[in-house]
Amino acid sequence: MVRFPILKRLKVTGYQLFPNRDDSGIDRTIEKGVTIVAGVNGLGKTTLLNMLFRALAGPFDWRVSRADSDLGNLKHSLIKWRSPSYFQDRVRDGAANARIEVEIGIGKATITVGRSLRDLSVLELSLNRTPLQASEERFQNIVMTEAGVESFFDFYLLLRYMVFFLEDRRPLIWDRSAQDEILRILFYPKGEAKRVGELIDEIQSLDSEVRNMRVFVNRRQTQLENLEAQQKVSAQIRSRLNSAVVKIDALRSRLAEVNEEVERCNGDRLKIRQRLAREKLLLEETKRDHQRERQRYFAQLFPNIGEVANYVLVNLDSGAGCLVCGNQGPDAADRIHKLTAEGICPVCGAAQAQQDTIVPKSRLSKARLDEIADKLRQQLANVRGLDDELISRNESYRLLVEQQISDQSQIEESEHELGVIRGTWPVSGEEIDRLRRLVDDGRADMNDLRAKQRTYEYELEKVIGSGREFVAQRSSEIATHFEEFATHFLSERCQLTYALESRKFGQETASFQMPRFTVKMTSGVFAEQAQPRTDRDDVSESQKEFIDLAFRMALMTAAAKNDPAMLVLETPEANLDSVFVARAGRLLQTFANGGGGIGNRLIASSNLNKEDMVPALFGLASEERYTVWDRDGRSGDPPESANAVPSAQRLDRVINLLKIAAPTAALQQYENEYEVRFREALFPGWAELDRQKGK
Amino acid sequence: MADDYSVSRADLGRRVWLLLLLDGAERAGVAPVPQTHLHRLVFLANALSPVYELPVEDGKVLKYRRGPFYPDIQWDLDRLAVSGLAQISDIQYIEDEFGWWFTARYGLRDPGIRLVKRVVGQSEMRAAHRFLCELMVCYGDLPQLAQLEAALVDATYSDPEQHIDDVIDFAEWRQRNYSVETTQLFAKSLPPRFELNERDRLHLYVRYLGRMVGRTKVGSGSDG
Repeated sequence: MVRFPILKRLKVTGYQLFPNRDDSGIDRTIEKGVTIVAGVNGLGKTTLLNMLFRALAGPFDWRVSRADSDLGNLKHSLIKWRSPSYFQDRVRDGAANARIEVEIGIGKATITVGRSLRDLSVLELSLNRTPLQASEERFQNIVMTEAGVESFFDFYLLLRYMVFFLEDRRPLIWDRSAQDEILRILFYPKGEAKRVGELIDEIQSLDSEVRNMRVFVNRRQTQLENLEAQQKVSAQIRSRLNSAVVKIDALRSRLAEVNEEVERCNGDRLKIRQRLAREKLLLEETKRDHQRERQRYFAQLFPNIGEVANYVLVNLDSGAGCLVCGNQGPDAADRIHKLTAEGICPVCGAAQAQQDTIVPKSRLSKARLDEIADKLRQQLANVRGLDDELISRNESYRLLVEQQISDQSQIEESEHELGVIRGTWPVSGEEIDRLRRLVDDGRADMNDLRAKQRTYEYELEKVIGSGREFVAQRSSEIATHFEEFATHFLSERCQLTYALESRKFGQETASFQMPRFTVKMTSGVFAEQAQPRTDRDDVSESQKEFIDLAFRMALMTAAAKNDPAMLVLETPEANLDSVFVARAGRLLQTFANGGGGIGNRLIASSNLNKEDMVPALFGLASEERYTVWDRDGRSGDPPESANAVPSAQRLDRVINLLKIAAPTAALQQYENEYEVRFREALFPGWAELDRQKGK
Repeated sequence: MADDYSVSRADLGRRVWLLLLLDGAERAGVAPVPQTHLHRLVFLANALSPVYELPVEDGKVLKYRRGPFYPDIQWDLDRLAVSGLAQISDIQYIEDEFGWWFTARYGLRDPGIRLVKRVVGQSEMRAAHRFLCELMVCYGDLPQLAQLEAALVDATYSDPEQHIDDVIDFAEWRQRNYSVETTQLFAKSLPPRFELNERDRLHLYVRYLGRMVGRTKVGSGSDG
């Protein structure tokens, strides 16, 4: 069960706006019944009531950004106070040493909290007079526990919609979503009230995420469709593109083959070059070996021949060639071998018989010389063969490299051509694939989120279903209370109707049947049959606020049962036609007199310029009724004043800002007039008879 | 290998180049140069020509077990000698660890010296002559053993990835001349205010080869 906070004591010190005559500030016990904050413009009525609100709410705000809008799909968490310098800005010293201390009753508990008016930090905290460590968290936990709510957000909503009716005058009965919240807090089973808030937040968050995602996916889908359309248009370009790609592939394939051939050919010519180099040296070695063997023969043949001539002869004999003419053919060696083997003169060809000086036969046999000659011939042939082969292979290599360069060049040209075609190609297949993936993935993610959302919605439906039953059980009780309260204020018959109304918590969420109350009222036209007044504009300005107050009172009465409750009203007369003032007074008096032994608290500010509201709040009948009562012989109590606050107690029921507040220029100038007006408001002349009776 | 009846321009150019090398030897006072040294100098001259930004006469060499040896160069040398332009002397057939081989020394004869003088008058040959003369001066400054083995420790020839009977290609079909890269490293390792010209780089490198001969155990065809 929810319990409401009531103010038992108020103390404000060090705040330059409320110095009081002796700089003692404000220190007042708030008795049950009515307490009036009286003043004129500029003395701080609004500031004082806001102080009371902030003493309980602390430096936090809901996420409502516009004061005149409905609550809507509000997230169930609080943010930091939007106007943290509110109290600082109203005084010269920035509220450096100012503090407010309130003693609050919630159920049977008494909580005392002291806050700095500079930043609303908790300076002092006690529970049932036992001091506790002063902290915001501790304060909130205590308040939540004692009030029977499951989050401080819920307590904040109770303050906003049930307890305080301040300058913004947020309506409850006319704001469907606000009503849902309050009914949830007041009547849903314990545990489920908080869960409803959590589920709604989750569902809204998922709904928002899915919708954002859909914007993204739809944009990509549009892009994809455009690109696919362009792709169809581009069939001709595609054909050219394909041809170019095929051509490049063919060229690349051929180049790969040529590259392999180049590698192979290069490997071959490297091997041939190596074999040639080695073969040349082998030939050189063979020649030198042969020369060594034949050198002595020629030295013997030509004893006085010089070493160069001998070298020429052995070179010739070894097949190395003729160093004189450069002939490197093997024929000369063959001839010398043949002659020297038979002792024939190698110079003139004379046989031994014709020789004066016998030419010695070669010590090497003809066969051996032939063998050497064959070896030399073979090696020479090898060298020449390898030389030719190297020339041939070099030529092949050159042609292959030319082919390689040509192919590479063609590939580059074709790639350039491909680039030009691609430049005219509106879209690549890769881009389409990428977009399609993005769209598909986005849709899959959306489906996952929606599935999650549906799970939460299923659970929410169960929880709300349970809440619906509890509200339904209390609906007639609430309607009865409402009608009782409304009767005091309205001449017309005004009723509450309980019904289920459909509500969505997001644009694409399921609908839920919410338990709600709507107002039905008779009128001049429909005197017998009350008509629904579902919109705040369906009633007059005066009716609007007080029907809402009657609804609040009905809910508080139903929810609190015998526990006390409190209403804090800012200038209830503000939007009231003067004919309704007395009726409003009756309504508020009814509330103020309730609350069992501890008693309800009604704290209202009032502007002394509208003098009729103060007597009405004290429960006095209107001047007109008094006049009638006087004329008719003053029989019994003055009309409707049985529960009026006696004259002797009225000063104690007023927080008189004329004395407490720092005087404005107007107050200084017209102090006496204001004082007269103050007294007239508390003790109206037309009620003098009442005072004379000693009431 | 064409018959020598039709000597190619390349062959003629090579023989002139050999005459320039021999002229360098004469000028450096190291002629007549032993045939083994001469072939190794031909390799070093080829490997180091890019230091003087000169074209490479022969960009490859077979890693022969007796060290760098060019059969075509040998033929050219002998032709030059028999034609009277070059001088050949001390022709000997010797037996080494691989079998019978021959040695000789080569220098220039007066007709060769006169020919070189005329050739060097042509601008394109002057740069090659200047390089070959400088190389022969560097070579002449080396101790005897280092003169013989400098080519074997050369960065290109001693490339450990190249083995006996492999063709070392440093400028024919590919460009991978570690010798020239080493001369560039010398230049980079010095402080910025020191600038090395081509002559400095050549001298430093040949001197470095001389030191490497002392440190490295080399054979004629050593991989090291």
